[in-house]
Formats: sequence, structure tokens, C-alpha cells
Amino acid sequence: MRNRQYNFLITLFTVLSSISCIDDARDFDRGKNVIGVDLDTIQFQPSINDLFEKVEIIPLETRKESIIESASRLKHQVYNDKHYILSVKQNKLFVFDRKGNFVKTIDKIGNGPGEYRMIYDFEISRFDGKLHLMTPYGRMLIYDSEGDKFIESFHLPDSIRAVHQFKILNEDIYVFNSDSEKSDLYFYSKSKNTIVSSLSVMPNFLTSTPFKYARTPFYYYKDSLRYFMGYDGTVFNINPQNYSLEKRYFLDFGKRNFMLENLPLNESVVYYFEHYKSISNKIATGFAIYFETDKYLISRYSYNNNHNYLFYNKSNKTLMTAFKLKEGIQLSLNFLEKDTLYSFIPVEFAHLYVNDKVVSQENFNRLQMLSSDSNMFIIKYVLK
Amino acid sequence: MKKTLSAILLSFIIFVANSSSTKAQSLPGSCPDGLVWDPDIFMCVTGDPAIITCDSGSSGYCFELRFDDENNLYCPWDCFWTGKANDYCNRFYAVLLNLCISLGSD
Repeated sequence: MRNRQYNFLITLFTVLSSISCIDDARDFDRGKNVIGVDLDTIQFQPSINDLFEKVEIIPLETRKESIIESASRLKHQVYNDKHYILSVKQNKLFVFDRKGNFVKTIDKIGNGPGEYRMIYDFEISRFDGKLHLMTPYGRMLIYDSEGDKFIESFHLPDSIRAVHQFKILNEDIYVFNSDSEKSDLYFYSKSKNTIVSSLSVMPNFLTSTPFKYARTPFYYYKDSLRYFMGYDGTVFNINPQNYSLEKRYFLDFGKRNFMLENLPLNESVVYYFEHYKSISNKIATGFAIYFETDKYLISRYSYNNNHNYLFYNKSNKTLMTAFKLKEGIQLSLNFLEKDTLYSFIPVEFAHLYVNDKVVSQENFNRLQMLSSDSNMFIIKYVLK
Repeated sequence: MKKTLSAILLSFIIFVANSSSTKAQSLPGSCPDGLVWDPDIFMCVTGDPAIITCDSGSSGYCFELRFDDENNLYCPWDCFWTGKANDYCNRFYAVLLNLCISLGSD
């Protein structure tokens, strides 16, 4: 009983600390970092031409060894003109060229040096071009850029039992995100072989709920690394000097802002899913994805029981939001590379995301040639 | 009809999830005699994987059921590694929850 009271007090303290952090986060430099979003007047349902220069279909070659079994839990990077696609469910990295021709898989399952049992994230470093594969139990395996030669590995301290994503902040510092440890962010120095800083940002009980990011809470913008809060959409810049979070953007939905203090504590994941469905009818929450380019800040959020995309044009400060486009299809934006967004779609769901009004006849024909046995295809959206 | 079916299924899942709390009884790392637990790779040095034993009698790794929706239609419930012995995610629940969402969506 005493333990329960103790746990309750700890949880209450954690949430109150987070709430004070959120209030602080909302105390932005108004007009500079706060983006007001009035869902009563914003342009809903723009046309594909309002957003993108062109949309292309890239079928991924179908071979026994090239099949990506699920579109869930994928990570993607374009490097040296090739698509690197990590399937967390299959524990392997698929490599295709720009046209979708299969190149190879990088598959190191095993117990020897340079091998793993599970892989949760990857990145080809923009600093040295080396391929990094991260296991969820805190081991980083480093290979040459082709993934052929194992170079070295490092391991986080044993006190950190699980990490779920990582990014490379600079030549020495790796930032790990954990959804199940006391801290959310761990800054690891490779040269010192130690954690140099850690940060607690989000209440632990939110990490298994829909009130959080999908796939990753990080994104790069040029040389900056950003981190965002899934429940209210606050975006921070991660300072590479002192490892602090600096407020960068806050989407202010006014009366439709999500208030963490109204969320009941420590319920089941099923409860939070039902709660999410009921409140996302009238509250903007579930900020699952963020992208940023020189021109746009793009986010996917839940409102009106739909996953909507918000496009904020940074230069003329205009906003558009979309669940479905005028052309009658939904958007699916999963990965950004420069000014191009990519999505991976299984053939059976093609009709939801593509029709002959949004792609050229040549691209539409490519789609028509696919069958239910075909590998998934890429939709490539080039931003205006 | 779809919504009713969805509601019934969800109630069943909540009931099952609440009634079978799967807490671990033993920590990972209990290796057979003569073998050493390697915390670095969460396994005994022979190569046997670490198994946790749960109250329900099931065994598995230290995963937790999580919501991780990416595309509005792909199965958003899955089991995620936590490294904590008191987490145990039964894939059966994850499949049921995903089915429930498919039934409930348009």
C-alpha cells in the first residue's frame, strides 16, 4: 500500500514537472516561433498542385530476397543515389537504386562480431559515411558505407536497458531516445565512451500511447537536429554544445490545444487509445511526424478523427491542412530527403493514395503493371 | 454493424488484458550451470537467448505492447523491446487490437 502511494507521488511529481516544462515551452517568442493554426478558417483539402511539383511512382523490384513484408516500422535514408530501407520487423536493411532496382540486403543476424539479434534503427553518417546499425539493447555496430566490412562497435552502459532511436549530433556525440528508461534522451560521447548528458522530457506513461511520435521523435533540418513532443507538437532544437533543448516551434491551435494536465495518469494502453479517439475529434494532438525544409514546416497530427498533414510555408506564413486532397486521395508522407518526401505503400492500398489525377499517365501505367504479389512501391513527392 | 463488432471485440480485449497481468517471475540472466550471463548482448555466452518467465506461464523477451501508427491503416499495435523483465507483450493481443482497428476504421 505504501509502495502504491509512493509510486503515485512519483508519477504525480513527474507529470507536474512535465507540465511546468510544457508551460515553459509555450512561452515562446510570439510571432517568431508560435504558429497560430485556426482550424475554422484554414484551407482544408488543397490540390496536389498546391503542394507538390510532381509525384512519381517507383515500384520496388520484386524478388524473393527483396520483399519488404510490412510498411510498418520502416526507416529510410537516401545515400549515394540509393534507397536504404530498414525493416525493423524483418531485422534487415534493403538497398534499392533510385529506379527501384534491387541492389542487396544487409542482414547480419547472428551472435558473432558485427552481428545482431535485433535491429531498431540505422543511419549512414553524414560525417564519415559509415553505416550505423543500432540494436534496441544499446549496442551500435559500425560498418563501411556499403555494410560489407564491420569496423567497430560500442555499447551504452548496462544501466540503459533499451533504446529505440538514435541520431548523430556531431562527429563525437550520438543522441539516443528511449521510450522505457527514466530519461528520454541520452547523449553518448564516442571518444569518452560515456553518457555525457541525459534529459527527461516526456512523462513515461505516454510512451506506449498514441499521444506520441510515430517512428521517431527526431528530424534533421540542415545541420540541426530537432526533437518534438508528440502530444502537443512542440519542436525543440538540440543544442550540440550544451545538449539542451531550445524551443523552436509551437503550433498554437488555440481552444483546440492539447492539455496534458487533462489526461488521466497510468491507465492501460487500450484506455489511452480510446481516449485519443474521443478527444482527437475536437483537439489537435498525436503529432506523429515532423519534416522541415527551407520553405516548409510539415507535421502530421490528429484532428476530427483523421490524420491530417499541416503545411506551414515559412516564407509567406500561410497554412494548409489536408486529410484528403481535392483529387480524392489521401496523403502518406513518411520520409524527407532534401525537398522530396517518400512513402512506402503496399500494392493493395494503392487506390487510397494514388489515382490518375495526381500522377502522369506514364507513372500510373507503372502502377497498373503491379500485382498483389508485387513488392511495395514508393510514392515520391517533390515539394514545390 | 462494424462499430458494434468493434466495440464487442475491444471490450473483450480490455477484459483479457486486465485479467491476465503478465508480470515476470524471474529476471533475464539465469543461465544454466557453468554459463555466464552477458548483459552486453542479453544472452548467455553459449548463444542461448534470454527468456523471461511470466505469471501466465508464457515465456518471451522483454517487450511491451505499444501504439505506433504510421500510416493510418497499417497495424499500429506491436511489441517493443524495453529490457525490463516485468514487461511482457503477447503478440496475440497485438493482432487482436490491430484487427479491432481495421474493423473500426472506414
